Amino acid sequence: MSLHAGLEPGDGLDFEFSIHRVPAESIDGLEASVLWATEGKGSEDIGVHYFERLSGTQLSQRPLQEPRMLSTKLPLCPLSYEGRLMKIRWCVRLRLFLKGGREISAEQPFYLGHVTREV
Amino acid sequence: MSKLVRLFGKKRGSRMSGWWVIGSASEAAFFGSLFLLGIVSLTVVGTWQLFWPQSQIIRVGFGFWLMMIASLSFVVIGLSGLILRVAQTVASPELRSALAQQAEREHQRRSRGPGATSQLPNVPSLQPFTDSPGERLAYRLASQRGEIGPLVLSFSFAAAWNGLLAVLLVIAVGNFARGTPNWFLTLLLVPFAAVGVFSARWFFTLFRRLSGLGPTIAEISHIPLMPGETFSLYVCQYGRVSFRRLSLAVICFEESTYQQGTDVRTERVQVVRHIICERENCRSEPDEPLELDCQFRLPSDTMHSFQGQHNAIVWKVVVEGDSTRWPSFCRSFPVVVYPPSSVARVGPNPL
Amino acid sequence: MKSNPLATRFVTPGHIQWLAQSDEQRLDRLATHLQHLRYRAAIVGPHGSGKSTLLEHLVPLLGTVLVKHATYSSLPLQPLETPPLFPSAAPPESCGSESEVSTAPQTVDQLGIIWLQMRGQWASARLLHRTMQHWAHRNRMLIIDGYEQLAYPARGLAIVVTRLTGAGLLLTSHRRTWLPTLVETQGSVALAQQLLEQLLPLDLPDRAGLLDPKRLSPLLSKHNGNLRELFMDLYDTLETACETNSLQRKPR
Repeated sequence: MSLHAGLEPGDGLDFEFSIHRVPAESIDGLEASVLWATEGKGSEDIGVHYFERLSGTQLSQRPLQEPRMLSTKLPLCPLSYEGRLMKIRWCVRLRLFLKGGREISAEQPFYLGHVTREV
Repeated sequence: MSKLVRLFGKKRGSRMSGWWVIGSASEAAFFGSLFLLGIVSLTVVGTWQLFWPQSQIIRVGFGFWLMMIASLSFVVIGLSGLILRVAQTVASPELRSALAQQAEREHQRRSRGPGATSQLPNVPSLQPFTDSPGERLAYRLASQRGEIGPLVLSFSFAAAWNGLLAVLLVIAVGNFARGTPNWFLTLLLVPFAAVGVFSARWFFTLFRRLSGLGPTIAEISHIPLMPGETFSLYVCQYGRVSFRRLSLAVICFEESTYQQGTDVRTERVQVVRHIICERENCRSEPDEPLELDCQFRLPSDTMHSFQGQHNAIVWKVVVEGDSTRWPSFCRSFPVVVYPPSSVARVGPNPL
Repeated sequence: MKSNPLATRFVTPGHIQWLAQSDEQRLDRLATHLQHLRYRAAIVGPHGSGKSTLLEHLVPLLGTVLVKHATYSSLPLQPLETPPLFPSAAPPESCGSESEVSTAPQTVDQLGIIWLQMRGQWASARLLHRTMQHWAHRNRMLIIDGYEQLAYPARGLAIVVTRLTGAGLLLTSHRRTWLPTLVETQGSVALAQQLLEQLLPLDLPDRAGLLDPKRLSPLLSKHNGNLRELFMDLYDTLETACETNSLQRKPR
């Protein structure tokens, strides 16, 4: 997974990923999402900005190790935020569903906007 | 020919003609009297049964229950009418309108879920803020006041309690006059009187504070507020009051609600506070209200307003005063801060 | 972008571990005990003592969760005519007496679990009514998280109806109920220490200080043994420390 860590609202997000060390025949599907979630003392709020599901068949059309690109235009808000009671975190999340009910997930956080600095 | 004072105001459409304040006060007095009448009759009927159960005057039967129901309905009608009339008299039409719209908006927001526009999800809608035009500046801000509720509550309690006390007092004095003193009732009057004095004191303290301080009007040049941009704020404080210090600030709160099973906890913390202007040793008179005209530039790295299901970032303009005669007070006016450079994409400012 | 290790997402019942404080509190022992009690018992303990955490870890050992954390609006309607989930263990034609419950499910595959979350008396009563109408069968176990949220008549009804239909019933409650108590949960300094050892990263500054029982003991007393409140208190401590460090690194 790779992308620039700091992005501005309204920017395009190009996101590249590849799958290694997982046999293609064991994959049931993959979900890629760009989302924000709150973190802190309150219950978690979540907002999914982009979502795409690829089936095992779609994934197996090309070698898994080959980089795949997902693109989306980022929204104007909510911006990343580092508060005291709550933080707003943006990330790209990949969820790989394996046959037999197992799943592997990976997250790549990024910072949307420049309102608060990392603390 | 000089105009005669009309006791009852006349409503012409949405406008009131005549001495509407006197009219409203008369209506309030009428409902208040009805409430007191209900309390007194309820107490008389109740205590009569308590102290003279053998008496033939008010026997438990059809008449007794009819009187109880009638007295209770007097209490309910009188109290409801009084609360409504006081609320209508004290609150301005703008405030009443804002409160009604706020309730409607809250209902809509709950039914729609968080997030006002598709372009700016999870940012509160602007409509509630822009539907009340100001006189000096573009918009008049709706106040978040929590002063009327305690006043009405204290009045209701003090009136009911002291009404009951008065009836018991008459009975006790009557007993003494007849030469058959009821010492249990007399002793009971002491704690009753103490509670009565405290309740009356509570009401008068609140009433003096509210009537002395008067309403606070706040108007703003821009809604939404934009980070890095300057906005003007006009605040007018009515009433006869001297301030040791009066300050105007923009404050940001974080609010978080945690729900797990039966446990619900909400926490709120102030995270940003910008003092816009501050004035010391100033005074407001009924014919010359205290006015503050200020300008302020929000820092460019200001976080925007946010409304999630469990978490929120709330911005408010807050007027805080430290008076010589009254306890310190704080009145807040919610505002919305947008993310930087989002207005051009969302649409121009309505004014 | 460091996270506070005591943020809600790390300390909710689904994420935090169940740490048995005695041999009887081991998950496998509790599952067996519950089976002996014919899947009818209560988990009793005060706020923030681990009742919901225990449920999260115990339930997978008991059966298949059909509906999780259902509220009134989220509970799917399932007509009574629907055949039982597990036809192999279908209930006999008549049911209602205690002796018939002896054919209660014996394996994880046989028990379908409906997990209800009570929020407010009115909504809870409607939720319970709907559940009883459509979901209460033999081979099913109802979990009522927050039993005391129900009005008294609804509490009795839940116990009676599940017994008549042969369904299991597992409650979490702050007080003892009419059902046998499976386990009593209690927050303690030792438990707080064990959980914090798992939650706090090894490189956290003043980690040892946060784990110090002398520090945890008054905090836990302040919150009446409520571990959740203790974590929230320490969350603030960590935030303050983080802000101080940040200010020291780059003065504004």
